[in-house]
Amino acid sequence: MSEAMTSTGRESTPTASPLLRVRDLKTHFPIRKGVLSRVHANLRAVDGVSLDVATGETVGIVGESGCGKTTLGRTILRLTPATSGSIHFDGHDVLSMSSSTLRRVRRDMQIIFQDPAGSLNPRMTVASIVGEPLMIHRIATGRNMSERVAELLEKVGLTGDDLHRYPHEFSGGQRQRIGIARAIALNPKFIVCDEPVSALDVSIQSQVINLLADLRGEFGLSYLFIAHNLAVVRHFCDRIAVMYLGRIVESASAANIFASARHPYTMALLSAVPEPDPQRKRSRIVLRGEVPSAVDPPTGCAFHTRCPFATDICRSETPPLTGKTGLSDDHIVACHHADELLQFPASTDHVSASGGDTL
Amino acid sequence: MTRGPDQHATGSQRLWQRFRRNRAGVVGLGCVLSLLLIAMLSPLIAGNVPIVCRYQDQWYAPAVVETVRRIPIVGRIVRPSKPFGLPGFDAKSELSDADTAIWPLIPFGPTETSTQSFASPSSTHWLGTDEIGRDIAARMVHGTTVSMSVGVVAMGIAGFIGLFIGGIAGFAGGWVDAVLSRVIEVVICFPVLFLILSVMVWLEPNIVNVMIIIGITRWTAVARFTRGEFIKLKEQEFVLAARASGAGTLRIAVRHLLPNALAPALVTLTFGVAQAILIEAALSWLGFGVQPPNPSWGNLLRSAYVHLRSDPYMVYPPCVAIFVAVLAYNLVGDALRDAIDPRTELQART
Repeated sequence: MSEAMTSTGRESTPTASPLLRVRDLKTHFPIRKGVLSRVHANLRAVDGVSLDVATGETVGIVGESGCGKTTLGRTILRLTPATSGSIHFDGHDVLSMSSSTLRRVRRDMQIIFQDPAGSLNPRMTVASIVGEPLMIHRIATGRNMSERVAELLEKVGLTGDDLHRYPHEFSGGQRQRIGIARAIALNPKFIVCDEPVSALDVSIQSQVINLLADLRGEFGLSYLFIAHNLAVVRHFCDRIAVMYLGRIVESASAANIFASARHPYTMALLSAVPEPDPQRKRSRIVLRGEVPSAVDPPTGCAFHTRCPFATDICRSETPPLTGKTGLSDDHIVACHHADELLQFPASTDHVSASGGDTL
Repeated sequence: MTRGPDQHATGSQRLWQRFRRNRAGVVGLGCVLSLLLIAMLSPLIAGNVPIVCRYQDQWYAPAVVETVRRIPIVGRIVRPSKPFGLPGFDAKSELSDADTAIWPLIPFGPTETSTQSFASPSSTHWLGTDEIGRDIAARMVHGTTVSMSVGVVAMGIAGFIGLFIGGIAGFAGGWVDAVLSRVIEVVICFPVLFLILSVMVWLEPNIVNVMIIIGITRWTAVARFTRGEFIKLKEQEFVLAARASGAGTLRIAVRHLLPNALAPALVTLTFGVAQAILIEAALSWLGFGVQPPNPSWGNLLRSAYVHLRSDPYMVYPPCVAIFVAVLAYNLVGDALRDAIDPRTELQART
């Protein structure tokens, strides 16, 4: 499965107009202080991200907590206001469209949240939660709506009997299915999955991932799949982008990320993927220190404070996100030493071999 | 250790399950419901017309008709039961012993005078009579109607204003919030009783004006709680999900935020009813509230106070009633606050 997906993903990437095109997107949150509420600093949650998602493609965004991946997803749907940059979805300029156009475009782009408990209104029944988008867009009302909602529930593995129950009566996995039913209610083209399985038990995780994969096949959906765990995205995504402090530091097809990662941060993430075989020896890249503050990010390469390979140039110059020799065309890395790091087979070899089939 | 709430109960069922564990709250709720019942059915409990009677070969239910007629709006449809509603018609002398009649428990009207003034409590006049021979028990029962309706209606007005202003402040944020928060703070600073007293100089002192003026000065607590709740709730993912579904501002505020913000507002309103009862009693005591001869706990206390030295028995009923009502509403408010707080779950009561 993953092989086939990867190849289609790679082919569709260079097409003229992808479904979603994000260019140099920045989302800064002003930090106000004092009586006059002066903006005294900016938290740079997303700081210059460019990204394409083709029709039918699944792009994974991976990074630690606080790297801005959730904000990126919300900014793309205009749930959080962007500071600068551009977002084009299906030919529409998302950031400049009027609220009525936005409402229409939102039929095609939906979101699934991380916390299945917090994303469902505790005082609404399943019928009204899943039916709300249908009502807002005047797609179905009354009896029609109940039938349509029951249909959606069956599609995500629940039953029509659940219509009149409240969210607290369901388990975490079932709640996430309700959230998925709501997201697909409008027949969207694109869904942002904001860590949809992070809050779930491992056994439930794979069920939900399989459900998302089935829906992708059935409706030709495109996903932006946000995760903090590489193992989860490995088989599900066509391409993977690794984020660190509001920027993408490496992006490649899922297979290439696992086979030939070049950015030291990606390598560190890969080495954190659990190893199912206890006999296999491997060296881990353990990152020291904390993620620097996004209010006052380090100069040069943001990762230099924790990078074992950092040199002077890393501290002064921001590395561009470009292709490197010896890598496939769609594989881009933002590291001054990406070429030299090829000389560290110890770090890449064992890492690629230990991808971990936790799914 | 008590059993946790049933997993499959709805929100309000779970609230009741948690409320029930607080014994003082249940007692308070019992008192509140009894007082409301007395307030609603006061002509059936105390009055000088029978509940049901046969008069000149016709059946009448004058006290029932009177009870229905006091319901706002709906009551207008029902016509008074002639000849019992007519002035100068004394049911007691008109009906002979031979006529079948079921009388209220206290067969005296709240403004019905008798020759027996300053009668001590007896089997006829349970709580005695006042300076012009009116039955104090009957006046207490009808005073309950005044106190309860002032409390509930005033807090209804306050709740409406508070939810509206607090909701807008919390939802809009920014300068709207800043301006409305300052408005709330200014209103909090009003010395309510003095404000009401000065306004009452211009307005006719009657029960409706008392309700309105308490309502438009006591909404600040509700507004502040609602504002906080809206600020907290609007960051929740289900609100983002609604926005992603294309929901507009009004739908989010009314369908998603308001129902979740109602419980804390209800707690403040319950405490507010107790406050309103006290304010009404104080106003009536000072002569700016309900005007004699209409009874209210406040003006009953005032007339008792005048005769405190010679006839102290008159002062107890209104004092006890005000005390019980205020305590009951506060107990209910406390229990309700604990019941809606999810952390109560952890500290299981012994």
